[in-house]
Amino acid sequence: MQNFIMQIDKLITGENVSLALFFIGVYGIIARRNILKSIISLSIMQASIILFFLSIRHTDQMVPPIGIGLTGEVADPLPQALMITAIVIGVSVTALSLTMFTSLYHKYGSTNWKKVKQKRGDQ
Amino acid sequence: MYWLLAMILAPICTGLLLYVFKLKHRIWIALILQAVLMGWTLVQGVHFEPLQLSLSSVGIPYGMMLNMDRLAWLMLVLNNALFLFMTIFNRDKHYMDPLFIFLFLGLQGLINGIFLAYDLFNTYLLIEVSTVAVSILIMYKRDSRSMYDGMIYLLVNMFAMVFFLMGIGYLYKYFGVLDIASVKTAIGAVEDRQILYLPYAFILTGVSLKAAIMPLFSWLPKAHGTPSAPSIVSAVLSGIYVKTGVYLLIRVHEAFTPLPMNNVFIVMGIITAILGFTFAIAQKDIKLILAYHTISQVGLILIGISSTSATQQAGGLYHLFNHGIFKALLFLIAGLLIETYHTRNITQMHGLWQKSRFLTVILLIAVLSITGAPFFSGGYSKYYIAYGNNGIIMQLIMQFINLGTILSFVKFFKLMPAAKENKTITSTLTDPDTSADTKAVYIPTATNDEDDMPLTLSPGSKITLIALAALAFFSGIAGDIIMPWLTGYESHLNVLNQLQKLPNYLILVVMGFGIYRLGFHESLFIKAFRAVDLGFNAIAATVVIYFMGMLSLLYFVV
Repeated sequence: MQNFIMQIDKLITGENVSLALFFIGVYGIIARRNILKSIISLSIMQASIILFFLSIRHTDQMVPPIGIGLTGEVADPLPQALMITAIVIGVSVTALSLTMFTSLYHKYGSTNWKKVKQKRGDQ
Repeated sequence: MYWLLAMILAPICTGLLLYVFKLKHRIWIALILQAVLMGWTLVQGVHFEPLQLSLSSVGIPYGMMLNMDRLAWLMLVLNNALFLFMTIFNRDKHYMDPLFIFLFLGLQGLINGIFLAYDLFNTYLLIEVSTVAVSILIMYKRDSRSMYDGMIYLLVNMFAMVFFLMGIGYLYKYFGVLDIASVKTAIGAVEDRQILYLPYAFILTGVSLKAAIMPLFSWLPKAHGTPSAPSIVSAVLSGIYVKTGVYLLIRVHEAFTPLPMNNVFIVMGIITAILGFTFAIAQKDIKLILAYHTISQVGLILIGISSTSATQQAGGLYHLFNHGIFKALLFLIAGLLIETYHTRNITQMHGLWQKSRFLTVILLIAVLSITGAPFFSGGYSKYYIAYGNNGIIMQLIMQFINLGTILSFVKFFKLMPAAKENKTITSTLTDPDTSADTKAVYIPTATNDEDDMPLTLSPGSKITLIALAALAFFSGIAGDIIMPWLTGYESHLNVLNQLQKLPNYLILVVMGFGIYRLGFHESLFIKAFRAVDLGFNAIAATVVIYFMGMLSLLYFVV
């Protein structure tokens, strides 16, 4: 039993979790008709990528790349810099999608992709 | 050197300043800026030398860089030329307010940035931001139909770009570099090809959606053909923005040389081209015909650039340029036609020759270019895409695609002369047996003054239409000069050689009209295509299916 838990523990790395989250997001986008849930799924996928970038090329002993006279192995600062940018983009995209969704809802009165599409076709 | 940075930042900053200060002569300032950028790009072409600009004190694998090689330069020429012409065309339209100019100029800078960026993450960022700008431009007139179109466009593109970013993550995991040259060397040194499969499939899913390759094109007609988008936005989207995907595809394939995907993409190009024109034949909405046609032409470009021969690659690139010009021209004309006839249904438009001879000639040039007539740009580049394909099957496929293109543009030929219904109406009116009721119905349409109004164009619109039409014509008849200048490939297809293609083209035109006459465009097979309209979930599913298909193709076939 102890051995089994150790095995599982090894499996739960940042990389694997991020891949799982990524495909949870993919499922949400394909299978849910709710527009709001589509936007949330997209945010989940973006969050999973941030986790992915931060956990690749990383081991537990690494120290943060801040300050002078660092001892030991220093974490790669590049993915961190990239991901700050990706977070900004992700937030603005989510904000834009929500704004668009609000005006879409005012026009069509539905949060359902299928119903919105039918109403669009009527015009 | 700093010009490269100015290509990206100058339009964005100028747009922002014009938006904040709301100057009176904002359009003139925008025009001068665009003319300067265009002029610099053209001057670079006189003696072309690759330019690079390092953006940080640290050198390339860690720092950032802007890079202009021949391919990027070609795209810059097309991009800046199109944006300049579009601003001239729309100079006195009421919706050219500060916000529109900010978004429009911003988009120009961002697209320039996509072509100049040297590492994949910067490319990702610029694409994301430009997608945001485009989705706002699509729904600029804010009617309810464009809300749905803009929403689908934004979310589908974001969804695909997440795949692209994941691929970049895998590349960084394996190689620790992100700029194109280092990635290329690192990939070249890879011993186990299997580790490339996952990043390749991820990146290609994002890129293919941007380029609207089969089956990932369902979002394109919604975005490019949406009723509310101003025609200059549709023109820019179809003319240059969809080419960013094609450009990235070239870059990605340059980097992933160990994976032999050329033939796969030639086949996909053929299917995309055929599906594109089949959908186009099914449509009656003038903008949707053009939008679906963009898909077909992207397929043709894909056949060219995926080939291993340098001739066909140059042909593909030249077609990319030509398509940008004549498709933008067609979208502008479509916008004018919709304004004139107050309908988007092409079958209800007729008698353009009586309304405006000028526009008819311009439309004729555009249609001849896109259908690949000799002496026009489309015919010239299509010849080089098909060049060296001695196999009978490939030749037949190219002829078939040409025939399909002509077939989908028969409707455009038909709107030029006056409609025949008018004559039948007058004959029924003179017919003594006609009852009074039918007379009462027919008289208003026969004496409608508004229908006979000639079309007036502003000087800016005229200049743009003439310039684009002249480009479309001279890129064909003087292709021996323009194609080597743009693509660096020495082409030889003079006027006499082009004349030999004329019988072939005429036969195809006759066949096209014949098939149209037989009612092919109203057959059940085509009607089935008209009914296809995927929702958001279905489009997202095609993205995942494409990703899975690409992955299994890599593991089991290649």
